[in-house]
Amino acid sequence: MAIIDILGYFSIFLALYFAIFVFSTIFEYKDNFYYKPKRKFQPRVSLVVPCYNEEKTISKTLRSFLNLDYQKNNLEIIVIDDGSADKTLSIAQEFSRKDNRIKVFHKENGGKYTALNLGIEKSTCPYLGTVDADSFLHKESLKKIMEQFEDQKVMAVISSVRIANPKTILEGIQYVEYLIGNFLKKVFSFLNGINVVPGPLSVFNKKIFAKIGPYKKAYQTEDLEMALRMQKNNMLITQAVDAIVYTQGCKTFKELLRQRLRWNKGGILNYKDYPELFNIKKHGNLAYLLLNSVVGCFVTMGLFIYATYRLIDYAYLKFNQLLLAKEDFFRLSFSFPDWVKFNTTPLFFLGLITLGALLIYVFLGKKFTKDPGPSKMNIIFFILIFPLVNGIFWIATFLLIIFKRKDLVWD
Amino acid sequence: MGLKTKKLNWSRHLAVLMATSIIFAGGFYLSNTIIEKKILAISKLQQGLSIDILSLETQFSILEQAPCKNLNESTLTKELFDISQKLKSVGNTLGQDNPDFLMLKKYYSILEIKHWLLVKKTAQECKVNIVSIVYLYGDKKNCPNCEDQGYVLTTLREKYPFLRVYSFDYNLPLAPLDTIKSIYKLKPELPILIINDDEIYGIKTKEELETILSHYINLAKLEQQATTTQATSTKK
Repeated sequence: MAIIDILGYFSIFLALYFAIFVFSTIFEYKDNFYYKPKRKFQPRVSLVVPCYNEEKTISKTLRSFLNLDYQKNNLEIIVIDDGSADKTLSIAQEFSRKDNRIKVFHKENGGKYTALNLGIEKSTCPYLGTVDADSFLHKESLKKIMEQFEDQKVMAVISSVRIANPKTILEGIQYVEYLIGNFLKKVFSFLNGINVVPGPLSVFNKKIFAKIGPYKKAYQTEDLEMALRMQKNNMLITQAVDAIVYTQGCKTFKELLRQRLRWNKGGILNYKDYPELFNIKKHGNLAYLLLNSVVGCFVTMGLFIYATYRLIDYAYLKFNQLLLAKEDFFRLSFSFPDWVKFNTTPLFFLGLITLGALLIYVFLGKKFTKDPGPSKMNIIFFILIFPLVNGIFWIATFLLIIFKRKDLVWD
Repeated sequence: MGLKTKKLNWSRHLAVLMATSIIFAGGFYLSNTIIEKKILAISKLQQGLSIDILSLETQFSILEQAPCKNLNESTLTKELFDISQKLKSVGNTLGQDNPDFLMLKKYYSILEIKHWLLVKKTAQECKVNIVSIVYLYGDKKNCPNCEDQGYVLTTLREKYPFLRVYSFDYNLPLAPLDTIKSIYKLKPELPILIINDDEIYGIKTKEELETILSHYINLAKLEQQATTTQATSTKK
């Protein structure tokens, strides 16, 4: 057996193992997907929106706050303009004039984490939510999140993030990815293994900032670092799967690449800063899930390298055949390469089963997160394209780290 | 809600490990079952082809001449091609050195030789424009150009229906193949082509082969023209 095949079997084994682990966890907790509150719990909460050149989306974001189904007087909205060069500040100030719950602060540009920290400083409520300026809250989202804080041990609650109005294939793929992400985060939440408090909407018990400190730059993935720091201090993070927040998907491949490079790089470097979280004895499920995500990125890269190798090999073969057959090349009927056409190896079947597991993630995710659902085309594109594209992102990330490119910009 | 435990549930992981192993075993079992079925299918096809060749040989013997009128050699050629495709699949899955695969390959090679001899005889006695090419190849290590030569021959076979290509692994330990090697006094300089009893060493391009086969290509063109004219006149 060739080394590449052994790697293939190893990768598939890990992927299947994880899938079965996830399915068995759902089976155990299937009745606990939605939190059932014992009483109405709508305490005072500040929503902090850090902004940097968000004139296109800030109005919609603020309007979504004003439409929230939440105790009106218990809501404080804090807009932090981080030195925008566009009309973000004036738009926010206009909102502030009309509704006194909205407070606007301006500061010199210093990065997202500095804006968030100013928001924490200005907040007058016992709970604090962070919301990205390109995200729009579902009417019920805040209510669903805050219900979970009736349990005094809960220190942060994260939301379900959906891509708003996916129109292009790229947005459609991201929609499916986020759908699976929401579903998996709920599974991780059952195991107390959440590793990120996402920017689009996460709410904290403000006490935590006094205990563990404010946001850090954290390689521009402050939401990831904050979750890791909370986990290190044994603070409970849960997810409200029915608290929906809509966010803008990346419109172009370049934009998506930039975002993923930032996320992946931040992931690796932050994990490096918290090695103790990988201790299975101390952090159990969280350690397994973190280890799994690290192995997962290598599996993804392996898959990409393998597929690229096969593709280049095939392209070279066809080019060579074109040179050999010249005008008669096009006379021959098209055929797939032998390794596709005549493949009956166990690796092939196990690979199909793994793709099937990915499909099950989508359907379970759709069912349990009550997602209206991506189109069939988007699901197909996701399954066929995403694993490979993700491989490109991971390889690019490692190259970025190896060659120490300068930090990516505010996003 | 209660404080959720971070503790690893080892019994769950053990169960997951077992379930994953069962699925893995299932994947191997499925592959194995399909290959067994394919091997069975090849054996059946080979038996069928063997009977067809034998019956044609018997017809030759009974009539003491080629049964030109009832000759339908193209069906046999198709059967041979079907077997070769299935054989590829088995070779890809089991590996080229697998004993089961080698056994099937040997049987297939014998059938090819018998088919080749039959086609040669038919071409001579029935005056049919069929050209048979014997192609001896090796693996990538022994013959880096063989893949290209194989492709050129496939192109020509599809372009010129009168061509019959018989491919043999030069290193396959098979007595009839050794006989061919000794009759033609073949040197192990791969790839080797035998076209109408002439052996040709080294890779040949499409154009070179078309030049070698030009007489037959022209003949085929004339035959085709004649058929078209006949068909047109019948129409009138």
